Amino acid sequence: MSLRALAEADLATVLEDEIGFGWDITVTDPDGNTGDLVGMSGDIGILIDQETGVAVAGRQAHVSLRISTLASKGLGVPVAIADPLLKPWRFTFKTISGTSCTFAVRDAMPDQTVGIVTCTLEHYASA
Amino acid sequence: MSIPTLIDAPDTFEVVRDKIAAILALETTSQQALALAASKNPDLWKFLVYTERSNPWELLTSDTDLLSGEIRYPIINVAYDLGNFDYSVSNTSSQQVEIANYNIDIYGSAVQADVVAGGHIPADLAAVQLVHRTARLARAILMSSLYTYLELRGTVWYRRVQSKISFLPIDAEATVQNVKALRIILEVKFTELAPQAATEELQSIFTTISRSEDGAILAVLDSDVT
Repeated sequence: MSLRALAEADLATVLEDEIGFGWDITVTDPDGNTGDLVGMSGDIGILIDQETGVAVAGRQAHVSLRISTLASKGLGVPVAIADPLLKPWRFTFKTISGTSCTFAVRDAMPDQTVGIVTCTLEHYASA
Repeated sequence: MSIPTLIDAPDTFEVVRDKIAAILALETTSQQALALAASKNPDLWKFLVYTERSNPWELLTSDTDLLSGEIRYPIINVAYDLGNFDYSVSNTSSQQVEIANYNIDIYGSAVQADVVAGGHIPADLAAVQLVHRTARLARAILMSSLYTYLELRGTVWYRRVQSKISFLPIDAEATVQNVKALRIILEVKFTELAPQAATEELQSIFTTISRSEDGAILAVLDSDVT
């Protein structure tokens, strides 16, 4: 196995280890197909002002998922959906205090070298 | 020798700023009542008004509202920006005329929202629409003929919209909410006063002006000359 393939295989430990920082994430694609994965998620309340370098308040959320696991669940690679006639890719996961939050993809950054897709998220309000 | 009176009253530039905010606050309430009477959703005419808040849009990024589902109303922040003095109509002793710019900053946020019938509402579009709608209300209110002098006739010479500029709050693009903003620069010309020195009466001169039967203007001087 090549080092690159080994790196991808290591994602099972790096991204999907629930004893580590892995977190339960429910993924829903625009067609409504869902899958329960374990990945990395973040939900922080601080931004760095790029002009001044000063920390300011602002909520940022993201997920990082293993692309091969998404495929095994019958899901594709998440992308940002601009068309308002379509549903966006949605992710549901809990905060550390147990509150469930649903987000939609703002930007998706797939890394096809190692097989990780990182998505910055926007809050998603249900109808 | 020093100024004998305590300088306790706000300057006109402060009064004008607070008046702009008061007008906007009054009118959003009034517009909501009118909307209700017209069987329309009053929330579309509601906005929150602040003055001189350096980071008012932070109120929009608090995540507690998102969890509770509370509606986030757009925010208008009124802030004094700069003032130039027009000395062609001022004097150096009692009153100066200032032309000031007030920043009427409108902030709105939106999140992506599900549409039951299909699709979704994009957050960036919804945020811009919210900001533009609120800017429409703010401009229409402040430029209404009812507020030609901002209810400060005799002090305010005029008010007019100088420009409108869209801008992004700092790093708003990276947050889970989409926050957009627009600035209306309102130019206001008004009079500023200053403490006056106590005057000393040197001599009283009384003059009576009258018209004679043949139409001549007569001036009768009554003065004690010492």
